[in-house]
Amino acid sequence: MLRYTITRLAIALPVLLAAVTASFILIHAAPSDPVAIMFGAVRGGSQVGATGTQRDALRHELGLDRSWPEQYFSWVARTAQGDLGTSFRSRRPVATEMGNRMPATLSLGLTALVVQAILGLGLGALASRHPGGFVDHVTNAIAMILVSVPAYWLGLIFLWTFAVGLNWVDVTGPPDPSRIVLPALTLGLVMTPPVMRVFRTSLIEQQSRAHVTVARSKGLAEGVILFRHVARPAILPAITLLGISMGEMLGGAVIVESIFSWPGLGKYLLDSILARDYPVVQGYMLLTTFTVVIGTLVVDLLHGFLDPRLRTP
Amino acid sequence: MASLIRASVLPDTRQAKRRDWSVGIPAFMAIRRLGIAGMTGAAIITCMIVMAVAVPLVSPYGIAETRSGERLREPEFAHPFGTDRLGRDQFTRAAAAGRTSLTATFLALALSLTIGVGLGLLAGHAGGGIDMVVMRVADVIMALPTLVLGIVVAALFGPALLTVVIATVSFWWAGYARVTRTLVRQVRNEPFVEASRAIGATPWRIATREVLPHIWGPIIVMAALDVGSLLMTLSGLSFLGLGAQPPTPEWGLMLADGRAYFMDAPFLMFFPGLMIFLCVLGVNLLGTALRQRITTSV
Repeated sequence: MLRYTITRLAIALPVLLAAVTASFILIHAAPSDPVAIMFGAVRGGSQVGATGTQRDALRHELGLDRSWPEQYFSWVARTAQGDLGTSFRSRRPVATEMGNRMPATLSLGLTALVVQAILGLGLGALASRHPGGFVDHVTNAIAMILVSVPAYWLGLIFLWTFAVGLNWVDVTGPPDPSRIVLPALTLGLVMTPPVMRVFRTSLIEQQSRAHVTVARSKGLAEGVILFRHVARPAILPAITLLGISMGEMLGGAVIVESIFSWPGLGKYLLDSILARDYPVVQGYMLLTTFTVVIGTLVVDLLHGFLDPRLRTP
Repeated sequence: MASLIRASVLPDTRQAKRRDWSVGIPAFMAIRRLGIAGMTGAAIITCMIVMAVAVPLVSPYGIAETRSGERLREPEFAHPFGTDRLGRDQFTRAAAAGRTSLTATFLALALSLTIGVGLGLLAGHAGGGIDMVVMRVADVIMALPTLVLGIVVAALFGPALLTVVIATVSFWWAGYARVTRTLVRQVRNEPFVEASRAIGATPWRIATREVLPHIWGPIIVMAALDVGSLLMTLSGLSFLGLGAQPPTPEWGLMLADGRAYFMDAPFLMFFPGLMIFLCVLGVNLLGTALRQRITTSV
């Protein structure tokens, strides 16, 4: 297990390094000058008062007058220490700014994950009872609809139905924990179909396995067979998918947060993009990569732990 | 398209001809073999395309024509989708937006397929260092959430429809590259490829004439299943203000514009979203039907 863990960690490192490199290249390939943006941001859009010397001083302060390799290595070194640079707009560390907004996104993501898990596993289990039957067709249609509906449209329809039409939710009032319901439902619903399909397929697959036939011929109760011998091994691929979807959720959060004005990382990213606050964009990209790599790593380790056959690469 | 898939997955086409009359006939005639769901999908897509092409031509309203006396009209017979804050007919605009969105989607898909399949063929045939580099790059790209990548790339290079298409292509190719490479690896040592190699065919000829026709089917199906999420990604980026810019008619952008009149004119956001939903549903239904055809016919 230790050997497996070390191997997996060794695979994860280059991916992280590649992401750090990619975000460095992206920022430097972008056709705008950070110094001009910073002066623009500081002076509220106009660049009056930014003399050549001031610009050079700022350029030096940001290290932009050094060679590319120098800038690259210092960027990697700083990133490795958790320093994501300074926001152009607020002049505060990006890591702190993102840390402040993390809880909002995390609570949204986790609630959505619960919605996704309950609906995905529940509908998948229902569908697998009689493959090709009526319930299977209905759940299949639900999955088809959910996979085709854009999150930005579903969110707005929810908002209109529950806030305007039915007046159940107050969206204009003060912040209130119950406001998480609609965004989490939107995010969770659009991410449900893959989990549902995978769980259904793997449940059906497990039911025809030899150990289930043995359990059945032993005369075990149907409930015991289903939960202990069918569902337990079948849930593994579905859990993998839930772990991997953490990254997609961060992407979806950008849209959902913008619709529901949820004060999380996604909304921060969008605001920063519009203000061309590149360090924040860069930081968000790194955070996403980090989340995805960690998510995959945890899923892989969990698999290795649960199924010893997977430990040998 | 269906006949193409049939012909390519079956190793011996002569045998297939005896079994299945649809091989060799045009795709539109084979469509009735797709089942109800697949036919519904094909019908939705056809309607969308016809609407996108025809409506702006025959509509009494111009795409950008503003009528100050007809602002924010509720949907009625003269304006089935209502009118927006400038008095523009939303039905005409939604149809015209179909041109924008569908063209952008198919452009992005064609570019991704060209790059992905090309690199996949290269990696699969060359092996060694090239293979490793291409596949590692693809792995890293595929590890990242597509929407975040799209947002970041589109944001850095300035908001425009073409930027969004390029941003999306820059990571969308990775999936096709990986699948193509795997398929190439599977067939490269088949007798018919070896025979071709033995008679001195060039690597280019082997790749395009022997290997590619043989592996085309699964790639087309994968692409068909991807069109929907590609369309949603592109429109989503426009919705966020990173893609198409006003006054271009584009579904995501129209939806975003409609948000300002959320309370008074909810139809402004309802119809553009409905168009996206129907389009995506159509291609997903068709794609699923195609996949079923291909997995049951092998």
